[in-house]
Amino acid sequence: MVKAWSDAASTVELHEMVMDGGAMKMRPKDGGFVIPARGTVNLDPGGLHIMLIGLTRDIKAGDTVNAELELSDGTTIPVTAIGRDMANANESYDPNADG
Amino acid sequence: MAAGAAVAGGLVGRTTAPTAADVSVPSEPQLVAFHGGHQAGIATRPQTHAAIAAYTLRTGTTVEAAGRMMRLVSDDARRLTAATPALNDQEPALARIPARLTITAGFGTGLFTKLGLTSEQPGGLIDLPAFGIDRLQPAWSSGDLVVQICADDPLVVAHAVRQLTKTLRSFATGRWVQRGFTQTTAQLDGAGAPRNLMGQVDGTANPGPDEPDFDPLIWSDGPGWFAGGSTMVVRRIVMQLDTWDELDVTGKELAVGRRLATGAPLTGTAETDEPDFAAVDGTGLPVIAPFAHIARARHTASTDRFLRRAYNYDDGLADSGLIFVAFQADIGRQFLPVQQRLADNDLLNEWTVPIGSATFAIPPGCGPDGYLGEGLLP
Repeated sequence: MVKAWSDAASTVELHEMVMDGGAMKMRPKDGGFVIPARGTVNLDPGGLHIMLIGLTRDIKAGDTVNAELELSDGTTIPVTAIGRDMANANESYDPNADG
Repeated sequence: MAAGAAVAGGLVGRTTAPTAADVSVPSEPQLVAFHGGHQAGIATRPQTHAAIAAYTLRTGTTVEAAGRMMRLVSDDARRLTAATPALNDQEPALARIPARLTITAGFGTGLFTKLGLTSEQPGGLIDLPAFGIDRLQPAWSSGDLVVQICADDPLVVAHAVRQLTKTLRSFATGRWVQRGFTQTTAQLDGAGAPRNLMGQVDGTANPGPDEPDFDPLIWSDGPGWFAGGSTMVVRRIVMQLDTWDELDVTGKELAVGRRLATGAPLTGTAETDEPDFAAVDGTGLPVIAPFAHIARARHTASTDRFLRRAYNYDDGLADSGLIFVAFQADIGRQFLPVQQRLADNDLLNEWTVPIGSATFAIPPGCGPDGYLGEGLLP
């Protein structure tokens, strides 16, 4: 998976979490997410995730967010997500974090 | 065990100690379907543990927000009742225990008022009037939203309560939660219905889900969004066990109209015997006192029966009682006349005090792509 779009954000990035200076930070993952043949990649809080940056509207609990994922062969996959409250997932964003 | 079985004629005789095989009910599925025309947790055979939680809608909640709320509640419920974690479940391991979990949601009259939807409030949902026996506390009464969570495992119930309360946080604040327990089938001593903390067999004359009468008694046929729904009465009733202790067995049986050991009516020998309210003893006095509990509670028409699904509570060393729960299509037609008769006269009132009361409309069930209350909250 190399790119993504959403109707709720001006920019969408594919992120990984890395330890930097004793704290977990998120940053864009070089090359996107590699999905092994006949395998799976899990996107979880605290791990790989699709980051919506520059929200174009409020996302309230229970709201639907539409996204489109693009694979390296050009295939696009539509995704529908539901907004949920989360107590965690407040890590800092540092595109220059060493990892 | 053998002596006990020989003495009490109404008991299903057991001459050997129960084995491990007797204790489990291996053929019963551990997952109860969430989807369907009716919500689960009503006709479902009562699970051992229950938490009934009521919530107050946050000020300014709109119909649109309430729709989002019920989408999220339904999404949590369909996942948890399938023994899978909720989407944002922080304790996923607790969600993977199958234990016949059901999650049933309903709306109080307050919700209809706050959302400006009183024209959609079902006729079968009313607030109960005050009864002379009531000592109602606001802390145990009313509620805009109710969720009844039942399972055979108390950890499963607790996890579901926490997940739903967190999901509801954006929309509603907690008002009360009533936690209770009952007996599993395996623990019944031959009685058809489980016992309550007063030692009574409780639930004998309940309509059974397999009876032809059941559906029209419990499920409403509408109008509109409410077809397939039901109504729920939740009353918290204190049992005054210290003064109940002052009665001997005869006194207790007189107050209820049933034998304590077997649950049989005083005019019969088996729990399922029909009580004979006209029977008199040798001195011409009624065998079942006119003000005995079962005499006052009996329905006067087959159409005014309701389904009892109560749980015991036991919250301190001196705080026991019943979380009385009743389901019916129409509270005013079915429950209210019986409750009024009991409030006016019931020998049992000497030892019971209602301290909480709430009523709710239970929406019909939904499908895999739907949500509870979808007809009311688009």
